[in-house]
Amino acid sequence: MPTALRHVVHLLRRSGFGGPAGEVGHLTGLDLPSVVDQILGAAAPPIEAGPRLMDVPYGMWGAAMTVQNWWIARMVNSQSPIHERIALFWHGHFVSAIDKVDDPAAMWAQHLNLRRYGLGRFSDLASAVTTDAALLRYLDNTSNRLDAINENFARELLELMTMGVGTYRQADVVAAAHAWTGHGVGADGRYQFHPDAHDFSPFTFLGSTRTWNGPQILDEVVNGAGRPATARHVATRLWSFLAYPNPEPTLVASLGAAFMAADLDITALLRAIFLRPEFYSDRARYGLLRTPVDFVVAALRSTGVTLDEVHLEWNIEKTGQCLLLPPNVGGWPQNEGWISASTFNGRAQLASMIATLAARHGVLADAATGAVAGMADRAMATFGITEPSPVTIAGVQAWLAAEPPGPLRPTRLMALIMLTPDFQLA
Amino acid sequence: MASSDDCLPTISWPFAADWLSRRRFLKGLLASGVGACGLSAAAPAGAGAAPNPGTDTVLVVLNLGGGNDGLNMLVPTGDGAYYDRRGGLAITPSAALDVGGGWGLHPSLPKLWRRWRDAGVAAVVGVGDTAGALSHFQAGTSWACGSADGRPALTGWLGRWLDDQPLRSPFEALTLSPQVGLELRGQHRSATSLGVDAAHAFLVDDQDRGTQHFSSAVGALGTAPTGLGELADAWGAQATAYVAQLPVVRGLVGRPLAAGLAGPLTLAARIINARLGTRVISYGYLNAAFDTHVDQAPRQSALLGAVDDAIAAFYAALDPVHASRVAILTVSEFGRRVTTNNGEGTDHGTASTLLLVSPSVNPGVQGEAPPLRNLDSDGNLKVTTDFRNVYATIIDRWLGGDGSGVVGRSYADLRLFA
Repeated sequence: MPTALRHVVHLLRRSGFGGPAGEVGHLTGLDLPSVVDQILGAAAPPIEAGPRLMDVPYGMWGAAMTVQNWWIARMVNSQSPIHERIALFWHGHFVSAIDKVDDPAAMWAQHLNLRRYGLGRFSDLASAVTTDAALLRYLDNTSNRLDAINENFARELLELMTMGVGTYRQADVVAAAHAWTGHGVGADGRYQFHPDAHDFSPFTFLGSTRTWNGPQILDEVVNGAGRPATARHVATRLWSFLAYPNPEPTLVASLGAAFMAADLDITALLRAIFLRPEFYSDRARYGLLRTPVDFVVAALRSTGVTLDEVHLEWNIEKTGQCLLLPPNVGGWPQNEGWISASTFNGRAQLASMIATLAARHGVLADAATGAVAGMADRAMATFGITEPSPVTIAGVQAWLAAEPPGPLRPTRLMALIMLTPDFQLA
Repeated sequence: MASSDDCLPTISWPFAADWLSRRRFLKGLLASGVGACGLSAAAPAGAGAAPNPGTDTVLVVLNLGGGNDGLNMLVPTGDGAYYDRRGGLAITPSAALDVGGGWGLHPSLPKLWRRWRDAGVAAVVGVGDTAGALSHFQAGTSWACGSADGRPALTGWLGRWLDDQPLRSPFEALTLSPQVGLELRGQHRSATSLGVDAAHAFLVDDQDRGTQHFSSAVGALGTAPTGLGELADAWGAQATAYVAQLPVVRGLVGRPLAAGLAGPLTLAARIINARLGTRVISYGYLNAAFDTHVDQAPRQSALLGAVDDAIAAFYAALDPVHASRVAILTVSEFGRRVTTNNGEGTDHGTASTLLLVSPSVNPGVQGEAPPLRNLDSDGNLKVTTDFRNVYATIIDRWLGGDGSGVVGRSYADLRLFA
């Protein structure tokens, strides 16, 4: 049975980044499992050349902006955006911030791990990023030593990255912290285990008493006693990122079971998510606001404006989101967290700039001449809005009717559309 | 002393007559911004009780995120156990700024010390979550929610207080952070965010008729339900509120503000001076900066120094006529472990010390200091005052409202105000 156009559009926006309405035609003839397989089967894009991080000016900020611009350009141009979308998810899950890590090379190495394992086995991904300099530095494990226990890394590993809060006790955090002693960074800035700083004494972790090393803790959490909790927690986070926050307990149980059954294969979890009827419910369709990065990518994909033109390094900070600079170990906020006068201001400035550039490229140029039949609908469709709110379309039409012809008319039309509630929905 | 530059004329707020009917569909998320704003029209009927912008009390909440180490902020210089456990991170009695009774302030707080000696500071010791967790997010959510009855953390304590207030001003509750935190979100109403550069958008140029027409179209995006769900409606309401508030915001932030924490606190003073009907102003100072697992000594010195400078900047900008009706409260999701982790930092703890700064406080050390030789099983201080008790006292005795209703439990008055 062919998949409804609106479902294909929704799936492409959530698994990728959205864009003009015309891009989805070739998928509508397929049934849903085939559409999902096409999306998930897209080959990972090769990294021909990463961003140049040597001698970037403005320190860590400059390095963050360099990686960010490189990454957003890929989001805009990708033929297999699921890989960019999921790397973005893991960046907000195994969180590190460049200002604390203080090493662009370590952040880049982590980024490559998020790509390499992001759609593979969760155990491989978790193993790679926890024995890697960025996360260990970000969560102070470089100062977690036999004679000086630092719980930060162990706590956040259990709470945010694997099992989820409430599924372990403080004593488990202490045991995990002891187990991770000595796992730090060497003189070359890469992960190194320092046996002389490691606590080899036995501890009880999740009910098992023995000597523990850090990676064995991770193994217990991902493959041993902690696995059911980890499966549910990761499934909850991924569902919340792709569909809507606070999924129903029955849904979490079902997704967790599917994830377990697939040996924590992330692609299998994604398939389970994309095939759930709840994913296409109104709750899901209206359940996520675009993050600032989503907003920029959708605007650029819709208009053809390039990243080089918009200078995000000067303009994205006010929206509240800079990649590689998440606000804290919990990652970026969702939904209501992006609604405020300040973030509105940031989006308004970006919308203005992108609209100006798009008009210069001739996008919707015929809007300059005054009344054109169907202009409001066509302009909305240019920005991927195929089922606009009646309030929005009436507002755009009223504005068009009262705005005299002139060179600024296309610019203002596009800026207005980029500020509509419709365009903010992910 | 306030410069005249920081005092704006009194402004009264007109409201659209259909305010309350609109408010329903907005679910209150951003209702405070709806309605056309002008600077001279009088308030029409239906606008709620008249505000008393020159006399109502104001609470400024400063969140020292990450877990502020109360023991090193207000140091128990008279307690040998502190020196036994803190080792090299301890503040020596000679370095601490003595406030008597075996207590001293961190040496980076000299200006606050002077204010303390002028009876303008209360420090509440032993405050924490009696059912506390050591997780930033659990504890931070618990502090923001501030409920003692186990309800889901969907609203915050100041948001629920706001829910109970008559709707009087779109600037009644403000955050100076870019995002409206949980503590400021109620069921029906929510704070307005005023980022410090919120007036610099392209919508501002009201000299240009085309821009004005465009601004009106943006402002109309939130005037009816979108049919696209609550989030879309909330965005539309934000668009409407943003356009409506621009003229006032521009007046507040059009002049330069200092970098760092002094900037937002100076802005807070300007807002109070402007008599906008503001009752609550909140600001979160840097993300988790107080999470001093490592390098605590230099980091805490710098952080507390910034707090000291910012409070001084606030009073420098505040018209003194308002001083007695303003209180600054510092909060943080928890304190830190009594024993250092490696001589250079401290892990997550429990009880900490809150500062309440105002000429109207009951000054000095308040509450019961947790014993440093009798810790809980994790090596943490035992909480002596639940933070919700502080909230309830502030609502009952300072903001005005139903403290026990907001926090979901009755507490004794902590006698924090004179």
